[in-house]
Amino acid sequence: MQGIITLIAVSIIVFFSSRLTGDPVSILLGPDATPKQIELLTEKLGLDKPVIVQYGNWISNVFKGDFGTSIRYSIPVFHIIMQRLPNSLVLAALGLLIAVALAVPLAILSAVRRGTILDSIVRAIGVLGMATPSFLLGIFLILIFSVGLHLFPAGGKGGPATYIMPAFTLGFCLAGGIMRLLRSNLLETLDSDYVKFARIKGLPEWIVLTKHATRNALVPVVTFGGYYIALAIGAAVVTETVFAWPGLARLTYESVLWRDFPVMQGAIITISVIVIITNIAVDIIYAYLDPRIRY
Amino acid sequence: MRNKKWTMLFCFCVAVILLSIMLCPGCTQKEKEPTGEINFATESFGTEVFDPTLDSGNTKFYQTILYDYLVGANPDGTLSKDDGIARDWTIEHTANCSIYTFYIRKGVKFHNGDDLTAEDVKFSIEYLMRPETLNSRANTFRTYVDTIEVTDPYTVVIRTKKPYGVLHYDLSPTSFIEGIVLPKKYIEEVGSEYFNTHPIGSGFYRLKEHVPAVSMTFEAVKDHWRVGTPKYKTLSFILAPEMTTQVAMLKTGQVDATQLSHEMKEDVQKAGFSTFTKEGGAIVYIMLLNTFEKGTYLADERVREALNLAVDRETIIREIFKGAGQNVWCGRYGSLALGYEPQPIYPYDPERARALLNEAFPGGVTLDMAVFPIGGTGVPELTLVMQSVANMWERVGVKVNQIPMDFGTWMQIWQKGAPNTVGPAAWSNRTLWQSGWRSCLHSTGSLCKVKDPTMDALIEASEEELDTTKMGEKMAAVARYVREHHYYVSICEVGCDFAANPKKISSWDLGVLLYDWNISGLVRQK
Repeated sequence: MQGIITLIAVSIIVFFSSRLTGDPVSILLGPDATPKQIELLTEKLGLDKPVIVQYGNWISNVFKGDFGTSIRYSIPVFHIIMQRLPNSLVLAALGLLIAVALAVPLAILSAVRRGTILDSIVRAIGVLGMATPSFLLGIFLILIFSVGLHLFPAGGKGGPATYIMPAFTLGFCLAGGIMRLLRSNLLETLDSDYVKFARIKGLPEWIVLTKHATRNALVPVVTFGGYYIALAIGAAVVTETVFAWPGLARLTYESVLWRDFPVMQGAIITISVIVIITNIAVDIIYAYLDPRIRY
Repeated sequence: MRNKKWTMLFCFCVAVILLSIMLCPGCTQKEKEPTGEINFATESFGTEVFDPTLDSGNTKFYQTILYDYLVGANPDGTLSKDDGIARDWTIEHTANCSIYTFYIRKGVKFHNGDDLTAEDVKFSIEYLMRPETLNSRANTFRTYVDTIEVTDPYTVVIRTKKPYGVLHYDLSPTSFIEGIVLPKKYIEEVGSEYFNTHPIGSGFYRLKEHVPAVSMTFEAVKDHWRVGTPKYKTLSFILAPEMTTQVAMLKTGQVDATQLSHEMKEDVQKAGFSTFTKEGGAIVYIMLLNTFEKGTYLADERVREALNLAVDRETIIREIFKGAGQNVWCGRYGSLALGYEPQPIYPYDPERARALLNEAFPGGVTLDMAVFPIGGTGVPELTLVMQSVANMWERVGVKVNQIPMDFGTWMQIWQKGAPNTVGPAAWSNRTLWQSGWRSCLHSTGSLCKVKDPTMDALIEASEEELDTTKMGEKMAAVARYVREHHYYVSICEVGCDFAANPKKISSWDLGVLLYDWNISGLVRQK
């Protein structure tokens, strides 16, 4: 129910705020357009009607599964979104996988070897991950692995090789955050009574670490990961632009530039649905990680 | 003796056969089957539509390979009777109208095998003029075209409502996309919506696959009437919005050619790639809004002159465009214009600029400057140019508020008008400038920020002129008037650069046609 209310609120905000940014007619027609042409196109796009009527028409069509037709591409919005969404989902998932694969072992290592050189190196990597702008990392990767070593394609979406660099760019930037968060949580949990008790019981250290300490330390990390998934789908504009990746974020960004209202609205609603689903998934994972949490 | 005779006869026959083989054009010059692929990276596809009437006309590199124009043009911008659907045409001007008769080439076929006839030509122009069209140049046709008559399957007669001298230019690649000939029967059968996503034309490549905002792939048409059989079996345009990525794609062999920013040219050349320039491809200038609004800074001619004098164009050309530009004497007019006459350029004179500003407004001048990039213009350095100009103006005492925005926001400001506001412009160089002037400099224009009766009269005179030579002179008169009253801040005319893999593209005449890459010249076997 909360999700539906959120979606309706998002739709209202997006619809009305988009109208404040201008109209697509002048962009589509270009500077040579006559007032008559502007009037005709405004009428054709339904932009001559009061905004509240436009919203009513749009939302009723959305409930019927019709997101409208793109003003820019002249094809159904649903079709465009469905072309982009899988690309974004796969990229975000791979990015998350890379982030977890990098961050979790390094964070555990860092927490266990607290105060050593290894800890310092891992912490430096974490800071680097958080501080490196994704466009910079992306361009470096392209220059090294595409232009220099000819290992991966520089951009575009094609075979599995095309996923590696954009996913790594997303994943590395996230890994820094996860690593630092997990490390500090681990340090806290490693000092807690139940971990001490587990050690006293004589459990092997790896069981103490993985089953007792890390599992509990992961709760805030899951929240962070959920937030990241939404971010990677809806806000990975820079990564998608650098790697010419046909994702939902770039589609949304370009629809804003072109004032392609139907695409803008459709894309943001889709991203909102993903955020809501992710939040639900995060809540379920909480309950699994920490049996004390019940809904 | 008898044997010798037979031997001689045999030798003679062999010689005749060999000679026939050597001289037979069909045998010796037979074109090879198209093979392989050629890929281009581009920063923008524009509106990404295949129905040319659904585009304002600003992106056509992928339309010129799919379709043919009624009137052909050479890469140098001159009209051609060999490269268009019209093999010939006649123009007759009367006191009340002009009559254009186009003789259609026989044997041209659409990609579905249908013959291209005069009916298709008539349909295409009527289709362009329909209310649903988004092509802003359609209005010229609505204003001038009276009747279109098919007198026989290969002859079309167009009568105008009043005398009009350049309809044949409007229907050629020297203009936008109005001259593209579309398949009447197919569009009537499948409808406009389907046609937009499944287009067919009579061009030398047919659409194979389109992934919106990702790529467009085309397949060669064998024995095309104009190009012959293209060298490459498939041709693709791949979208890569970031210039660094485009160049990396070229270096890794993902694409064979790409657009290029001027600053990357040297790096690409050092890496062993060829670079090609579309000479004078774009005109860079600064628009001054609401010059008619009395009491504002930009309404004062001295301020406008000072803004022009304060710009060090040579430095901009040298540092930003790496020498690839040339100084121009008027904004929104370029060296490709009919009857172009070079005029004295603005000197760089900051002292005089400062004096003029002090004389006009001793209390100082403050301007709002819109700063934004415009994709697809071939001038990715536009924001850098604006920032440099802002610094130069600051040096002569103008306070400049640089306001970053996007093109859509600027369009809104431009349409509504705003006092003391300036914004960047990068326009493709062209032969005829009247339509742009009508909207931006004529008081009836939707984007007019001038409102000057003398200017109106000059523009109207250039529009009404029937003789192309005199029309060129009249266009130059408009440009001179713009220069004399400093209605724009001219910057420069700049070449648009491309880079290519020399193994695949050793020479490339990009020509001068508007928004065109002359791909037909690139893929021809001969």
